[in-house]
Amino acid sequence: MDVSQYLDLFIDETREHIQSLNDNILLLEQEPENMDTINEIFRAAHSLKGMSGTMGYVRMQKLTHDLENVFSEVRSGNMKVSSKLIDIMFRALDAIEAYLQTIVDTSTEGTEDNQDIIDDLNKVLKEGTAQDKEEETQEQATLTAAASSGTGGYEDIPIDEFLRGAIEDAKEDNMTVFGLTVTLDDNCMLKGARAFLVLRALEGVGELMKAVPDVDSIENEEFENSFSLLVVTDQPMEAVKGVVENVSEIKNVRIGQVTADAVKQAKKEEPKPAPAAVKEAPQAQETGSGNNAADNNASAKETETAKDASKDNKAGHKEGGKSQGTRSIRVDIEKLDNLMNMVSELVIAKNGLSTVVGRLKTGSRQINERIEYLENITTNLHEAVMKVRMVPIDSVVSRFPRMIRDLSRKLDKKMELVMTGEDTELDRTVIDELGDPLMHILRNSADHGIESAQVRAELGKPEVGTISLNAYQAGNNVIIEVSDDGGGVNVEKVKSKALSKGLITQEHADTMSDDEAVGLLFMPGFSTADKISDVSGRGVGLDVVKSKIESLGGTVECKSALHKGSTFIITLPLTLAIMQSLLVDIGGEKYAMPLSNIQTIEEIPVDMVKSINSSEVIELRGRVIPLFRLAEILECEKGEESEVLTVIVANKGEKLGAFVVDGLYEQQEIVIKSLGKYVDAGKLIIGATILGDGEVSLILDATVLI
Amino acid sequence: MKEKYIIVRTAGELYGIHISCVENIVKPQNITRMPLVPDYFKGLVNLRGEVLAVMSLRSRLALQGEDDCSKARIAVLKFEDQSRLGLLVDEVIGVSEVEGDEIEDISKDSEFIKGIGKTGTGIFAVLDIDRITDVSTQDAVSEG
Amino acid sequence: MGKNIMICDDAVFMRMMIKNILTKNGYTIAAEAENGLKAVEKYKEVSPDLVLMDITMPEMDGIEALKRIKAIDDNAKVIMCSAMGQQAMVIESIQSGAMDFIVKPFQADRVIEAVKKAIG
Repeated sequence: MDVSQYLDLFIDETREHIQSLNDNILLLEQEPENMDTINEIFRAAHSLKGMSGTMGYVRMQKLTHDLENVFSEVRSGNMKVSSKLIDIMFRALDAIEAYLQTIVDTSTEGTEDNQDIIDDLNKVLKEGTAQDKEEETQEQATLTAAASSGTGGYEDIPIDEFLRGAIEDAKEDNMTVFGLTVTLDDNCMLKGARAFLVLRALEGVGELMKAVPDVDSIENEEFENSFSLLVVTDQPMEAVKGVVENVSEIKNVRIGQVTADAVKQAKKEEPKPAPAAVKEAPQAQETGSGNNAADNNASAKETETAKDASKDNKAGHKEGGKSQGTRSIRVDIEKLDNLMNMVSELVIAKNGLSTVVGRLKTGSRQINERIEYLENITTNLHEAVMKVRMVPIDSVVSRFPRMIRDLSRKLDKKMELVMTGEDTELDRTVIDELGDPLMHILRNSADHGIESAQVRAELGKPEVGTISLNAYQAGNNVIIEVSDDGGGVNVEKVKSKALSKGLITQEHADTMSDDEAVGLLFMPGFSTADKISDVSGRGVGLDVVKSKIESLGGTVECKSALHKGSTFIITLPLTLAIMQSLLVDIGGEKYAMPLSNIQTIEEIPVDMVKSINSSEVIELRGRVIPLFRLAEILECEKGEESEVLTVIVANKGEKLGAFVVDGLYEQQEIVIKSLGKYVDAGKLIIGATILGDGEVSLILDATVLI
Repeated sequence: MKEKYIIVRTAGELYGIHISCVENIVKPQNITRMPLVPDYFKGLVNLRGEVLAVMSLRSRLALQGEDDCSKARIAVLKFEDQSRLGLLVDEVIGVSEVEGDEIEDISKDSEFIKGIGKTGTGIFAVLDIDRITDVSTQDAVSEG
Repeated sequence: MGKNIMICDDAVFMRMMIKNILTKNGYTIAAEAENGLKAVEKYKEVSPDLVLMDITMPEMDGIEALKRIKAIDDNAKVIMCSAMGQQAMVIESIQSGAMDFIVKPFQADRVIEAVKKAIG
């Protein structure tokens, strides 16, 4: 079976599972008895095993299989979680991650067998299960109970007195009552409408006595994939089944005859589902998923109660009731980027229109109203698309606790990372770029912030240092605070370092406030470490962090108190205008050109440029294209003449234009910044952006020249 | 009523900007040239992640000389509508407090000067910031 | 074979796509209409075996056209083409006599399945 088409999906899902395992193993270390965590780990390992098996990665499959085995024993209570086990699990996880990386790089899993880890896993397994087995946990019973209650269908429709009577009447009239459970196709779109067709079809052969959920709920799609009905008819079962099967998008129809006496009644307050389960594990039912008490479908006093029951009924069919709430689909990132680009262009176009209308001395009120309306819609559209691009920072920060744990061991300082607000969302590009700066700040705190155990003891601080990362939304911004309860910034030391590096003058040092002094940390060329530690050093300073964050449209500052700790506060804007661009050199200056209308880039010998009516053109693949020398148009300094021109061919609608640039840098996704109301360079310069190095670069829409 | 003014020097002369307009003074760093705009725009700078347009006071007032001076500063002006503009000057001297009625009207008709203020040490021309930042009369820029 | 089908949709692209799907599977296209009014007119002229009717169209929408066609010919077979989120309108169409519905974006096999069920 050719599985290569699923490779991307495999990689994505495996990454997710690895992350989940990482988080959960960490959690398990703190709470070794946490059943939920254990289950999650088991499920993740199980999925990984299945997927790697399907893809043919046998080594990965073996490792995850053994991991799953160990976990199966833990889950069933035959084995307890020890710190030895945790260590081995982390090792196994690292090995799985290594497999994944190899797969990403080479599409194969490589040749590493990780036999040592497998052996250790098996050793731990043997030792562990030799210990006392726990009693059959409620878990087991609930599982069994839930499993057998999985049938559920028309058989579980509660029959009240009224319905019972109706069924008996039908019998007397020589009609039959059938129960049907109809399951729609998984990918059926308009379920309500489809169900409606079923109901209608049935009404053609008989009468609908009861529907679970009720008819209104069915039409409002308040059901997962199936619903049950009681129909009275004079037609044979096959005919009834047939009309339902004739409707499209029906996965499955179960039908059976329903008689009044087949349904036993026991008068109970609340009729509950899953009669089968009752026999197996009555205790489990009580402690299980909130569907207590266990009798057969009891008679309800009122139809209403039956209605409620039927809803619970439905819930009981799945383990604990799956939420029908959030539905999501996977979307190719390229599609999102495309959408984003188009919206960005729309925003720019709208801006252009507004400017033109704004300059019309005779403004028609109608035009202005329309423009305002357009602005409204465009802004809303922009925001909506932005929201789609929003991703929780969890994806970036989730690896940090593990990193701090490792650092804690490496630096031999006890510390832990506490995080809140991991579900705070930011634009996808920002998230991608945020990882490095955050990591740097965290490492900084771990390395320079948190003091050694001895110093902390002297200061009367708790033995374990705390680093916390808090993310939250405030107005139109997202704030991420990284604090530590370490030694804080030594203002005097910072000042003297800055002085010695010639970054500030003595007077400046004397007059600056403590806050300003802390800000010196962000100056280029600054580093307080006497030696570059390989943890946070490498000569990369906080100035790079600051540049990076500013290029994302944000700010960073540090507040600190000596011996108490420091807090880095990163502020990032929620909404950004983003565009894919090509960075080019024109006359020694860097400019950005929108990538969306660039067709090709050519190297054209100078003598291929022809002149027609004092305009320059080139001939390219049979087409005559007007040539524009951007360096001249932008009044740049004259550079050297070269024999070969670098030409960017872009389109405006059907028309093409050739634009001479002096060099190419790279493709980059940039944030579009407005030029403000005081400068207007016409249609050519549509905005500015701040590049990663902090420089302002202008954005050109060269196609206006065409 | 005492009014405070930031006193700046450009092309050897002293000018005053009402303190209510000035948000900040920064050192000019890496001004990106802006083509196709009137010459009095020096370019754009990165101000804490936002793009700030910078106008040269010297050019705006059509004075002589070049803008590159070691003590040059950009006065970041902020207005009621939250927009900002940078004004590049040769040097920032300090703050002066002047009684409102001590601003003399000037006899000569100058587009950008509102009056003359007296400080302890000298006199300065009070800039008419509204006029200076009024760019709507700039010629429509060539299409490209 | 020779079952002929009328396609009603205001988007040329959609009509073309459906046309391709149908002709590849051996059906003939009796007529095309770009709005409800034309749909009703052409139905009278051509009497197709089946109508594929888009719900949202200018001049007259699919539901109105359906009702009128049904008034002319009670046995008319009409399948509605709807977009996501038009549940209520689909149900109304069914109540007004539509046989079945397919949801856009189309999948060729779903279209053929529905057509087969309607006219074979």
